[in-house]
Amino acid sequence: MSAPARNLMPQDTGLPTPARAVWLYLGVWAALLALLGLTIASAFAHLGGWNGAVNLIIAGLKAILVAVVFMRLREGNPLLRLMALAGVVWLMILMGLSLADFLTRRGAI
Amino acid sequence: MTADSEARTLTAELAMWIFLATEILFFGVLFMAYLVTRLHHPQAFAAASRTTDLTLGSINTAVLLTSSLAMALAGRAARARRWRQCAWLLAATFALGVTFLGIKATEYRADFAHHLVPGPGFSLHGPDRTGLEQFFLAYFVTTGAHAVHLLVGIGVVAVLWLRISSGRRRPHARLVEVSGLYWHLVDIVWIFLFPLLYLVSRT
Repeated sequence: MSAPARNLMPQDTGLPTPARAVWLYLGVWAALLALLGLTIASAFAHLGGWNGAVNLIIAGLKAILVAVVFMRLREGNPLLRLMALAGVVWLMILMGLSLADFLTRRGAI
Repeated sequence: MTADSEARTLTAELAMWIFLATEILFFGVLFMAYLVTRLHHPQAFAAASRTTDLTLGSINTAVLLTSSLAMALAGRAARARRWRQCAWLLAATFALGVTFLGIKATEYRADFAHHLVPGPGFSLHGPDRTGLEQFFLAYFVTTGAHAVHLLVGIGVVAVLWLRISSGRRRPHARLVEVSGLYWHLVDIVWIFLFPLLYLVSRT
């Protein structure tokens, strides 16, 4: 087998053992619930126009925690990270281009 | 694991991630429609969001986050060949998924009773009635699409659970983990839906 093809295989080494992972997963779950509490609490704080931004930032953090640990992007093959990133980046491009129009219009839209 | 088995696992995981990328774009269109209507009707979206049930929405978010924990641990158990533990964790994932849909159905019943469905009988009134209706259109379409996805996930988890607990035609561990990827993405969609629908304006 040639060297480049071998590099595409996931490595057995470096994977956390199931016993260690349980604590990691429980920790992430606790962090997700804490962030849920934080996002609810922040919604009742007077932050002016920043309430929406804070909510989206917290949602982004929760999504990253789920993707990196629960969906095992951290330990998985780099190809999987690339594919996950491609989906998100394409969405950002499409939404960014659309919002570039809607956010810069003046007056009646 | 042999190199061949590793390659099959990578193929399955990569195929699922490619499908998930299309799902990200599918829900992205719904999020974009939400954002554009919200930009057009900021006050109406704030007013309409206040009529959603924050208590049930918050409980449901916690239920779904916990279901993801159970699913992640089920994948771990399958990889370690702890099939009894895996079956129990899949049963927990199944039960939490059904609980979520049950709570969502309770919310829908209240929404119907309060005439919050956009159309001639829509009950909310204000200076921007169109905006109020468009919030609830976004609410029903996004939560409805999410519920359908969750229903599919519940079906997949149920089949895995039955096949593992019966001991006959036990699936490969990678099938549990790849199914988990789908479950977690449906969870991530809700992570974004929750603040956009329930937390627009609570001050």
